[in-house]
Amino acid sequence: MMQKPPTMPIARVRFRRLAGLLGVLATLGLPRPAAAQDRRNEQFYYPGAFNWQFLANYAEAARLFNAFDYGHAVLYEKLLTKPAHLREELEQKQFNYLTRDLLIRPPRFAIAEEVVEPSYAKLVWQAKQMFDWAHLLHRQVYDVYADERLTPAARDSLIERLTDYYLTRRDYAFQPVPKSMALMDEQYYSQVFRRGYPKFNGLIWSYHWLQVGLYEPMIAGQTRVEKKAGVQATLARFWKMMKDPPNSFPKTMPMTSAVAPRFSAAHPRAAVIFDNLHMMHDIISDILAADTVPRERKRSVIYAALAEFRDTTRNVMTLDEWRGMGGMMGGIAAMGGPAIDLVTPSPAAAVPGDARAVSGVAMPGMSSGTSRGTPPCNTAGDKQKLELYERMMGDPVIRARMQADTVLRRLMADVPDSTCVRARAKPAPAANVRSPAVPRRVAPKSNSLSRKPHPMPAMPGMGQH
Amino acid sequence: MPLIRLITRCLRTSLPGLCLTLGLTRAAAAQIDYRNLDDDRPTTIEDAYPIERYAFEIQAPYRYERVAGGSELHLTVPELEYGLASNAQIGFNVPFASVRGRADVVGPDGSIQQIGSSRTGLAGLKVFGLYNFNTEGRLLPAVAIRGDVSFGVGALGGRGTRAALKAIATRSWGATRIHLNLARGFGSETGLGAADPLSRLTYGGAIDRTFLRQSMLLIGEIYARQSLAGAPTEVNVGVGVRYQWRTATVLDIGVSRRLRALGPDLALTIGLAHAFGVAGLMPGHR
Repeated sequence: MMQKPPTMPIARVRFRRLAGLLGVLATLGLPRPAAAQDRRNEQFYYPGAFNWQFLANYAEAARLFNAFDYGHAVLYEKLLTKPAHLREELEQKQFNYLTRDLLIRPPRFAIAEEVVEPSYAKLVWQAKQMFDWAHLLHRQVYDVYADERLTPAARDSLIERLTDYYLTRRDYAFQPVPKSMALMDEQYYSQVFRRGYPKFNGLIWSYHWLQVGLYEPMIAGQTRVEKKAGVQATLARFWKMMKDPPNSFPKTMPMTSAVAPRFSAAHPRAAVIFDNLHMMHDIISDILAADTVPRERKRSVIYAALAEFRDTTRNVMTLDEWRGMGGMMGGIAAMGGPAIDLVTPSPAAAVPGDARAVSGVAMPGMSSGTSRGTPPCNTAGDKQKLELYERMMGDPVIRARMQADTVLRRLMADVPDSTCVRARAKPAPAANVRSPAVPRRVAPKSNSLSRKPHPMPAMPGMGQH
Repeated sequence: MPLIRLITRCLRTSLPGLCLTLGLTRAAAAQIDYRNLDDDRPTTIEDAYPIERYAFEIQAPYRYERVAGGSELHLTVPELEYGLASNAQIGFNVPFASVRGRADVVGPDGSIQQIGSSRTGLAGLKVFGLYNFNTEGRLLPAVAIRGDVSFGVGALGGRGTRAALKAIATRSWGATRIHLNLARGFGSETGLGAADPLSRLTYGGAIDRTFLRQSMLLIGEIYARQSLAGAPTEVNVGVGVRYQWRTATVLDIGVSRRLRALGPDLALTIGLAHAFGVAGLMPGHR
């Protein structure tokens, strides 16, 4: 077959034009240390049959996390773009959408956060990547616990392996070293968000409470049925938080060591990573909300904070200090309560989230015993129930059995608050559950950042008080 | 080769896509893979983002085309991709076609020729790589470059070897994205394959819309394609949907049609894409 004579000169010219265009595009897109253009740098998660077991077996919980991602994303987008009536937008419109619609009917799968936070993702892609990478670890740990084919030892080993894999991305991993709370609470932009938007802030903290708290029933439950019951009980406590916002929300940032003591003891590296992640969430909210950080500096200030959280040498505390932070910040009750143990009343902190306001001393607004809010045992039936309860709990064997039985504990936790039995019931002696009125103080340690946080050293883009 | 045997076996079944993609049930992938527009899945225009580093993705599409004169083309292009490095992917595909009736193809002299009455066979072998330079920023779109080489392998694969370079840009506005593709093919212009050839020039754009709660992407595109030097340019439009069927599996469906004399009267495509990883290839694996 005859071929058409090639028109080489024209073809060459066109090809050169095309090559030139490609070159221009490539040059425009080439990574430069300068800044405004980030690399995509997405990485696949650690493969294995355990993946997606949580979604398959605990869909009602796993799907909530998809809604949580939306909540974080829309928050950052709104704080960055600052639409008119921002406070109303967040505290009313978005809050109502989240709590009355999205959480009720959460998405089946993870959402594409870029769609919800386009401006934020374009501004600080690295922050989004760091959060995504840590959320992936979160999800995979749940998958491991939800995989009934694994033995407890295999689960623990796999979680450590997942943590190792997570940490291989040094540029995107929160480090397993507890960072000082001063990074969150003592910067010139700190606490702006929680003071200005208490409902949305409480919602975010309730997200964080559930995200770490759900580990507890997964660990405490010995069988799938027990785990299911425990997860349902923890979810019930989360939904209870939604009933009277912001009063029912955590008053301080939930610390993993306090809300998930079993998980923190078993996997302290992952627990510390999650606390650092949650601190960083709050920090970014503050930076975006604070007028003291001009818009043109928000990217550099956020990136400086991210760098701080990848640094294992500065503004760190010991594991013992980290374990004691729960007490320093008001105790478990101020953080939303225990995930699976008996519920204790939540104290009302003077300033939501201000750890200094709720730590260490008797807190204003706290009540105990049969004081305000406790329904009286007036009826004969109430008194009978109370007597029965007290006799049961007075028996050490029954008390021990109840502590060992997650279903019983759940049933106790689910007793409606209106009953005088529940209201008068003293919390059973369980590890990590303390009276909120007198939080345990941490034994002072040398160089304890938690006792008196150091001011943050000079970081690019960060100032001091 | 075991891979070829596997592909051949699957192609013999009535559900090749299912066979290929569900054969790897232990795998898992990102739940937002439905937003990853791949070449021909289901539209010709693709986005500028590669699959994640260390991820594999296997695709098993089926395509039906009816061209002027009533000829029909049945095509499946099993494809495997791998995230070789940060922001880079490589892959290959093995088109397998069945031409029934008299199919029009563009001959080396630019004229439209008719081939075969009913032929079935391998329609070449294609390898490719894609590199993404940046994620989208406040000013610049995401930009990527892709290179393809196709070899004339198989009964319908043609005789020559061709290559193509493609520039890709993606820009988003919330749930809406726009993608622009510009590709230039070069190499042998004799005896092109009957299916999925690397055209001399292809350019076009697509717009897509993400439906978050449904995990679904709706895409519309228009593109022009000139198969060989001097050949008439076909202009086609298409629409498609990508739907996150399972955590690791995306279902896509598309339909397209010509706007000029050349091109398909009707083209339908349906496919499955499944992402997975191999633990032994992960950093820090022990």
